[in-house]
Amino acid sequence: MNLYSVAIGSQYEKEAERLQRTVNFPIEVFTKANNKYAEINTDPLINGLYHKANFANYIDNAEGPVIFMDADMFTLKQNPFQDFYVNQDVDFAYVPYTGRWFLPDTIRQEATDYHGHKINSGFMYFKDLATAKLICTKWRDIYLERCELYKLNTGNSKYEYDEWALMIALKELDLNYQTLDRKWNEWELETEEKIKDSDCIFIQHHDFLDIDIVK
Amino acid sequence: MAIIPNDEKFIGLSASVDTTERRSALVNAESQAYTMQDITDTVSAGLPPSPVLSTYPVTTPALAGTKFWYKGNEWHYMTQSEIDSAGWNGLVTVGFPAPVSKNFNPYILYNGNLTMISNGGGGYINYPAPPITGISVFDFDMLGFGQPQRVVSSVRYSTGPGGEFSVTLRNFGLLTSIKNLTGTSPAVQISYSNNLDATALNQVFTELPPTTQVCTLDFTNNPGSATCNPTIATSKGYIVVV
Repeated sequence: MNLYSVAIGSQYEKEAERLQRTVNFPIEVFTKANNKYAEINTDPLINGLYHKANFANYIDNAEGPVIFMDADMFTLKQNPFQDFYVNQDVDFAYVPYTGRWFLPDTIRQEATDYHGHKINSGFMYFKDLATAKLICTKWRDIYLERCELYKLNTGNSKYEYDEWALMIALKELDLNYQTLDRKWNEWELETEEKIKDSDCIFIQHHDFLDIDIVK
Repeated sequence: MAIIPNDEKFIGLSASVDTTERRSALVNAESQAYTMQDITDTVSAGLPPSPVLSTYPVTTPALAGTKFWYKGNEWHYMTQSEIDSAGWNGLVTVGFPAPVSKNFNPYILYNGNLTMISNGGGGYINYPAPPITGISVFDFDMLGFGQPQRVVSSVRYSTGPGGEFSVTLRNFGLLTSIKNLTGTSPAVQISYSNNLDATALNQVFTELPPTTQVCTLDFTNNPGSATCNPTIATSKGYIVVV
């Protein structure tokens, strides 16, 4: 199992330090310091999300599954992966958003209808590096296409982030997908108290950078 | 009662002018000079006090220009000129009720334990709960944000000690723009607690103005989630989660 993250910008690099510290498992973090990094957009949000979507193409080789984790992810569990399991024939696994989603445009609505929900991209499992590269290449291309829509004031903006592009890419690739339990990525806990009381394995939050594992 | 013609003129005299009549003592004794303040006091004393409402006011064109009290603050039924001055022309109609002072206190316009208004990225604007417990009726009014023409980027309603439920949403038609307030927060999200039926949800969808922002309306876990009509909102550019 190979763990990866992307942290473009000093704030994300700080968050990634927490990720590496708490997970206690080798995580390769792609930053601006990487010799494969190149700015593709002057907007830092778009630039950062592009590199996230393209993360697998910065990896030369890896044996076994590839797992991507957002830089602001962390864990308070001693051995977070001890119960992690994905079916052998699954190409891509993720934690879905809850609820039924209704979109103002056909493209995103069809992608949502295909998957049955919205996909959260904070914690993603790929069967192997080849699968990750396949998905990431399609994902980053579609993301760049959507960036063109942001200029048209049609109700799309960079604040839709990266997940819709991912969903569209996955729909077009039509691989074998599996959803994961919410405990593998909880992104809505708001307070430190709630986080510490949670049974979730991985949590996402931009704050609480000094939070540490429960010994 | 004699009716003073509208074009009748009254000559005003400075207070320094001696108005003592050079007439007989009897006539002078039965004369009285009145100032403008005397007239004002007389008129005011004759008017009934502004009514005090105990229920949320409704738009009443016939009462435009009049005032009343609601939750300890003075409101008015707005005239067209008052609507124009507030920049609400086209948003509300004559007789629309609103606080006279446009520096709205959110506590005036909420009935319930509102505990937090968030801008979604950790930069919370906190409104500590008023000392009321056991509230189950929640009255959420966009007028309470002080600038009803602008939505805060995220409105998040927290469950407090009373186990609150949102019931009525008001004046969303005053919103003219929805925008993010911080660069790192997710796009606008409006989330509510869990007691809205389909009619209430559709009411929110209907009252929201069109948006070109990325705005997600999260109304999951409401009684009306399965049966409401999200297309009312998606047709205006919103993303709806139910």
